[in-house]
Amino acid sequence: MPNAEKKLEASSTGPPPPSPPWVELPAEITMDILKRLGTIEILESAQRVCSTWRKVCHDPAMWRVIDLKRFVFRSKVAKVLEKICRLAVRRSQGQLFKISIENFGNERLLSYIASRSSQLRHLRLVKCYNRLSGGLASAAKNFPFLEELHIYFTSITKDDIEIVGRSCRLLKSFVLHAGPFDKVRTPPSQDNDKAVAIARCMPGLRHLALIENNLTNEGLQAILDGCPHLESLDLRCCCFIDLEGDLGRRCSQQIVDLKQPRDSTCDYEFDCKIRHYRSFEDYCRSRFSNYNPFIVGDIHEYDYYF
Amino acid sequence: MSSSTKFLTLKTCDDKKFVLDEAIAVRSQTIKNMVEDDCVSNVIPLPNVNSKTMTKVIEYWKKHSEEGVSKDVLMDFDKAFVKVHHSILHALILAANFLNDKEILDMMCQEVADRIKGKTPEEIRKEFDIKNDFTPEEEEEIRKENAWAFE
Repeated sequence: MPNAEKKLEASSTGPPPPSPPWVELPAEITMDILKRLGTIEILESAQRVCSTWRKVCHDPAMWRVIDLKRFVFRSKVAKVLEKICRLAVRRSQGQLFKISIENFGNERLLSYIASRSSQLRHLRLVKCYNRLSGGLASAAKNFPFLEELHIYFTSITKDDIEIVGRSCRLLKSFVLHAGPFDKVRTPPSQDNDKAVAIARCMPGLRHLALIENNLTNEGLQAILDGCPHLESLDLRCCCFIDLEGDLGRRCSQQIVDLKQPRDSTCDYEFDCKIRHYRSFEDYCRSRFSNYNPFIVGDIHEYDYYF
Repeated sequence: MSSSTKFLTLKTCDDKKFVLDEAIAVRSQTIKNMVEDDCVSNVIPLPNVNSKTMTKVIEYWKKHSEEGVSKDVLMDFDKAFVKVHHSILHALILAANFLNDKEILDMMCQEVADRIKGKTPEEIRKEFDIKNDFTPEEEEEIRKENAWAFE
């Protein structure tokens, strides 16, 4: 008899237990689960599953962290990501705590975030290149609680740094890896000006990373003087800094966690090469000829402009 | 010293008793609070946890309390631990929530999220046996809101 056969088969393997009532989980647990899907999947999938999940996805607490990245291949276009970002920021209803924007975004988006996120503590901007055009300074005025500002492949000015420092008095961690993304790199004098701005306006810093920055010992000296609470300092790939002498000794004494210009970048999240130039002229000349600068540490292949 | 080892008895909702070293049982913040507040009588009742689930929880606690276990071994253990049927996963989440064990709760929530990831709403409903209870009006609202997904 087919029924008996079925029974026998079921008893030998055991009937599958009934599906548990997932939608009846406490809302905070459902939130904990759905948060892990990331901004895009929450909006495109999770909130469209059922009304319970949809309600959870509308809770501002769902949107305290926003992490959006545009991949080079098979990704949404920048315009769509901007829309998604705006919707997520709107849903946070002012509770946004941490946001990371990678490979899209511009001054307008930053200003949108700034006008709605006065509680922001962590801001990470990656590959916004020249698109902020001074927008960071005006945005910073709306981030009085900002503690971490991490900027990669995005150009900012000395004025940006000064205004950020004055507006965000609680800033503890600052990362600046501006380039190279442009054909022209900043001369040491300009990067020293930025270093002086950091020293003057961000005295409360605990962590500072200036990656592939053209500052010299002069700028570094200003930072050591101006930021007495620094615990970690990352100077990897800053090829114009010389830590052989007294300044190097002072660094090692003052800073608990020091990463030197020629330290390895293998654990660094982006590609950068450690290069060595005798002078800035030498460095600039290398851009226009086939002259191949001596590479001290060959860490990663990087599509460089030289 | 073994002479100073204290044992607690935990009683699950199906009346099964588990005798457990106190040092292990206090991985549960709920139990830890009870011990610290001195409100532990002979038996600690766990009205929201059944014996099958508690066996799994204790298996996890014991493994993670063993001395000298390498990180790799624990990682393999955790990987195998989360490979359970939806019903056990669900029960473990509720148990971890009741026992206030953040480690287990975190691991289990991550596992559920991993099972959701990459799926369409329809696929998620099927996998988790969730009913689509949207009204046509709500469906339309969602469609409008997610217009970018259809661009």
